[in-house]
Amino acid sequence: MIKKRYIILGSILLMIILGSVVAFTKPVLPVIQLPGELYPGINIPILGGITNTFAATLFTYLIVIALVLAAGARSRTADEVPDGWYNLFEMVIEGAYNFAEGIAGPRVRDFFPWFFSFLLVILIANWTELVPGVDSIGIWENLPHLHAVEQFEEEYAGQELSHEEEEAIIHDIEEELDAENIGDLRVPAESFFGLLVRADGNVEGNEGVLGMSVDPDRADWTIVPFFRAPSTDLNFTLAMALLSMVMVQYYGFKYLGLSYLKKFFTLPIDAIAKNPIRALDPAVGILEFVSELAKVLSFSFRLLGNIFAGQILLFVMAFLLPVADVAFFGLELFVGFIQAVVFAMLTLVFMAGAAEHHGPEEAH
Amino acid sequence: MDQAAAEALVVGLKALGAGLAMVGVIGAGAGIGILAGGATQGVARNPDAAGTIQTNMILGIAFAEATAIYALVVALIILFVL
Repeated sequence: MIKKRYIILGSILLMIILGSVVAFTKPVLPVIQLPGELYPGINIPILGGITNTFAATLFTYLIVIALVLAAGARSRTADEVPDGWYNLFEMVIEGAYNFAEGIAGPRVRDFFPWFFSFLLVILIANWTELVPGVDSIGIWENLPHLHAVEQFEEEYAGQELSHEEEEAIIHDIEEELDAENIGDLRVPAESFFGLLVRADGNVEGNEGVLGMSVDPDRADWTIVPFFRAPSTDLNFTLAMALLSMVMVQYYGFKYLGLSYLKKFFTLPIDAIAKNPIRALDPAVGILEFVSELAKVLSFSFRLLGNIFAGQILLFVMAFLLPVADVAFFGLELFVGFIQAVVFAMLTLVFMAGAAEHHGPEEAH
Repeated sequence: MDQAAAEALVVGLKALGAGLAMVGVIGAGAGIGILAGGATQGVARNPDAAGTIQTNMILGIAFAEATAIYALVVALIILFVL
């Protein structure tokens, strides 16, 4: 029997050969855009289409639910000494609980479910981008056609057209785009930015960026992936951020009652008489209110920016030097974990902060 | 100016704008460096407090990094949305 390490070493060697030496096996860059790509031909009434990031979100939830149900079932039948993956799961939960207790103190029993749910969901959502096949398996799409469909939907929105008419109009736009080179479909090979969305091929006499060459005949094709990591879509991160901040306000009201509002709207007349600088308190309260709104933005953009940038980093490195992608996979594994921890920890800190009494008059 | 030159100019200016937007990362880099340096010194002087210091350091880094991420998001929007 062959040892595992020889298989791994052999795979790495094969990858180096295929990735660097044989240039035409270089991966095609998927289409890069911020909103999720819609599946073609699916149109649910009211809700609209389904994006590939939404499909990946459902996938993420399935994994999380399966993991939790499995752990729950195992915990009821567990022996005295846990073993295997269940042991690991217990260890992780215990570690997270102690960590949360250090931040939130005695209220940890209230906050911990939110902390760990955010951690688990966002961790798996972040790591989805590392699963082979996500971002790389999809519909082989012609770029002029893609742009033509976009333009058609903008210009002819709301008009009733038969299928043949639609096809004809899209075809006309496609021809027009192709001829006029609108949408940078045929920018010269020297353009690095243009390189980001095109397939790579070897053509003699066509010197591209960094010694790579671009085949104009294959250049107009791209991949629209079936799945894309949920965290690369603003919808997912914004949803998580809103959920987090709404629950922060909920715990503020739960522990402080209506006096929680004093944090935002306050006019301490007695205190002003003693110390005139306290006249600034109403303005500070409004700043607090604005900063609660800013936290939603900060939460969502932090997660989106990190993971989207990581995804593009992986695309571009796979395109430039496939071997180096291994190192960046490690980096993204780390970044995905850190971002999940940061999101969950900030939620916990804000929850603990909202539940504390605020202002000097209560403190002294 | 003909059409091709105008489009090439737009592509170039987009790249330039994205690059300039990323200048905002300088501050976050310096901030994270100062934070990590301070935390390391703190741990070296008082190894028992390592847990608390680490937690606070990660929190501080998350806030310092947020500004860099805003710059990054602006750059990404310039490149892929505009």
